[in-house]
Amino acid sequence: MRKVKRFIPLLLITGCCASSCRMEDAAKPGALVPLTVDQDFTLPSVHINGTHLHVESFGKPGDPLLFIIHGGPGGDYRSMLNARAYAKDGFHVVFYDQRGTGLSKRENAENFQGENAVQLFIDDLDALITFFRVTDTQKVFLMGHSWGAMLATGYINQHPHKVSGAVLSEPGGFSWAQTSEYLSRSNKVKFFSEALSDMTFPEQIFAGRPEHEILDYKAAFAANYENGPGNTIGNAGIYPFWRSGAVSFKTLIENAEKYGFDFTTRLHLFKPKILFLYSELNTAYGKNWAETVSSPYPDAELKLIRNSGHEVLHFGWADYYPYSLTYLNQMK
Amino acid sequence: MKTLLKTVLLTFLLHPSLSAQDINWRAKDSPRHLVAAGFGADYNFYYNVSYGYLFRSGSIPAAIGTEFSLPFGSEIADDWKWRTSVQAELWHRGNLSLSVRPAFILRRHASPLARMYNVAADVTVLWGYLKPKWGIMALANYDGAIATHIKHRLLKESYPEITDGWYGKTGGNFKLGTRANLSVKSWNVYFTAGKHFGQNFKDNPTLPFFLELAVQRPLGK
Repeated sequence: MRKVKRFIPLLLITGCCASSCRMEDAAKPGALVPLTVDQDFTLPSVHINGTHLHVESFGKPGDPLLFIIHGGPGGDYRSMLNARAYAKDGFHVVFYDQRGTGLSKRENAENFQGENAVQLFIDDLDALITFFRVTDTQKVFLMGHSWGAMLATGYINQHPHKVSGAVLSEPGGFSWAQTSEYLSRSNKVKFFSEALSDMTFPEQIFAGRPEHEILDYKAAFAANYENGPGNTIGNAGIYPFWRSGAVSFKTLIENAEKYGFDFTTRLHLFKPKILFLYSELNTAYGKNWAETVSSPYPDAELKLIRNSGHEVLHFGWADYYPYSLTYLNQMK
Repeated sequence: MKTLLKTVLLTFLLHPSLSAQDINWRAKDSPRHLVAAGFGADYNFYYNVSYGYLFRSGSIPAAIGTEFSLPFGSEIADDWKWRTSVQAELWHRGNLSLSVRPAFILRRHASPLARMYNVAADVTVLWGYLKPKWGIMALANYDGAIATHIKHRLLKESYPEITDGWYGKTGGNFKLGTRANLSVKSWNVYFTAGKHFGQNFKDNPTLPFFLELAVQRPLGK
């Protein structure tokens, strides 16, 4: 009977449709995905390196800087807001949504298609560090998650003397070959799963439209697959986010497939210890992979985050916070 | 007849897994009814059941049919697609055949993020070679969303200002493929496969292909 009842709203809705309800435009800014910094001037932001980023900071400007670098590419920092806590611990904590994603200004695909696309992200971070640094002696720490940990490593590889330490959680890999090997495990398709249907079914409805708002909305449904019941990466559910940057994600993955990358070429020059975290419930990661990925760093301390999947700053905060704070206090 | 229709209708409503919109116009016997079941991949993996009624409109053979599809998954009826079509063979010469099948589609999707009801229309053109016992056809299809009612769930928590309600045209997909059919005793087997594209041929579905295997039983004369 319950199944039959599911058809009743459909009949009512069809009737309503036939009698010409007012139709919203799915591509209208703000209708299906939040406004970005160039559309909503109340959002905290910084114009930098030729783009407009969603940026906010907590703590005293003179304290050691701690940059929070989110995953993706194409994610945002909303699920990492627990990290505001470090402001009370004597750090100036800076959050930013990367170029073209989250609440940062949208950028066209051309922005991410060149051979040096990843360099743009490294340069954005460098420009932000320059922007927030108030003295030349102020220490800079990077806290990167997933793709954010890869980007942090890309930065350290180019600027080993500008960073005093890093907390890295589950970067897929530090080269494209390593990352694609990890992705082949973490993104293994479960063909007959509810999670796959929950991700792909809306593609019948939102289809072949190029507007970013529609692409971003459709991309949000990937969260259903990534975090669905029994997901490989061990997340307990869907974590908070603002906007999936569909264009940035798709184009950067294509870019990596085409050009590849290697963030390890100068890591031997980075002398400070890093803290490398991996989660207990991500079956695609584990201790062996953590050892493999972290090995180019001369001094890496590995720690397991218990009872958490990949999204450790959200689901594994109980372990993440004390481990990372102990490390940061040692290094500051 | 009434019993058959009731059975089909009840199966359709209570165990929604019905696909018999595939027709071999050259079949020797001229059945009145076609009942079919199939499974395949089209955006996701699904199974379906369908019913078709054949008639003649003047000199043109035609059929009306309805098909109900459900994706595989632990939630049985949270997502579904119901397609009702009219089909006619517009032209044939010898064993060559051209038919067109416009259809009206209703869809429901539900996930932790949102619930959607979608009204859509599609049109399929089939052109190829049909013999009484087998056939092979080229297939072209366009499926366009007309209107969608969305009620957000978790997305509303992430973005409270998100707008629930009716949305106008949100795009469509093209399909290009092939359909082969074979008759064995009193059963027909249809295999369809091809590739689909977003309407701008750029933003394409995650699953780049579609395929379906359907078994059909003709009934009545």
